[in-house]
Amino acid sequence: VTSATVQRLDRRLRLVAEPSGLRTARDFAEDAASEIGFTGDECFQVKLATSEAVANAIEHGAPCEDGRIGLRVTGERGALVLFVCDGGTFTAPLADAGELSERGRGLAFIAVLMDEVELRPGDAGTVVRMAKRRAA
Amino acid sequence: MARMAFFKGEGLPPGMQRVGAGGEIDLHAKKEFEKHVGRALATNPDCLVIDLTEATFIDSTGVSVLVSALRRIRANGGRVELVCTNPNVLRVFEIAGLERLFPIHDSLDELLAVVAAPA
Repeated sequence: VTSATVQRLDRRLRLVAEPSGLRTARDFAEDAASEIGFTGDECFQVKLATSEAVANAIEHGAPCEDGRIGLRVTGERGALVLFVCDGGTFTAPLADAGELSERGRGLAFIAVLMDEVELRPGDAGTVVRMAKRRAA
Repeated sequence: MARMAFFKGEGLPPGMQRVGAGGEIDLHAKKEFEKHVGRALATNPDCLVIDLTEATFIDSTGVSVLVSALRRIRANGGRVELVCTNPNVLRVFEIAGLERLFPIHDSLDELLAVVAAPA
């Protein structure tokens, strides 16, 4: 690791609500995880979880009023919290109908990758809050 | 950016087809990936090889394309085999439980050797 680990960070990104924005979302999350000292494996987990949450918002949600999807990452004392905000009304995906099912896998991924995941429906849309702590 | 290709029968035993998918296989790449898999499946192969040798990332929508291909080919008695060594892609396969569904090979040569070996 060449750069010193930062103690605190709080960053926001307004992301184009199209699949072409996914790579930017992944880089945003991975950089933040790396900067607060997550291991390579943990950085990958955060990156994949963020990609899944944003893809879900793009595919099944709706953009915010400004036509974008909001991303925010906060980091403090080895814990990272990511928020993905869209303007859609979240409806739970169909229950997994077995190993050949093709739906609902993204949220299942997030549940495995992060320590906490929470869906917060609101008047203006839906916020997915995901948290992960660095291994001690 | 993802890179996709359907190599129609090139250098493969009869009944086998290969689709190559490289780069980042995410929602952005899904349609292109589905298109190439669809073209390969339209030839009714016994075995579809999805070659992920050059893949660097896959998400749940990419996994869905693999599972969909398997479901479609199984209906005709065929099978799907994967070639992949990228640790991040293999990690996603582990999370999705794909090792239970697909044989995963280190290289196309290894796959072909396994297929050619007497049972």
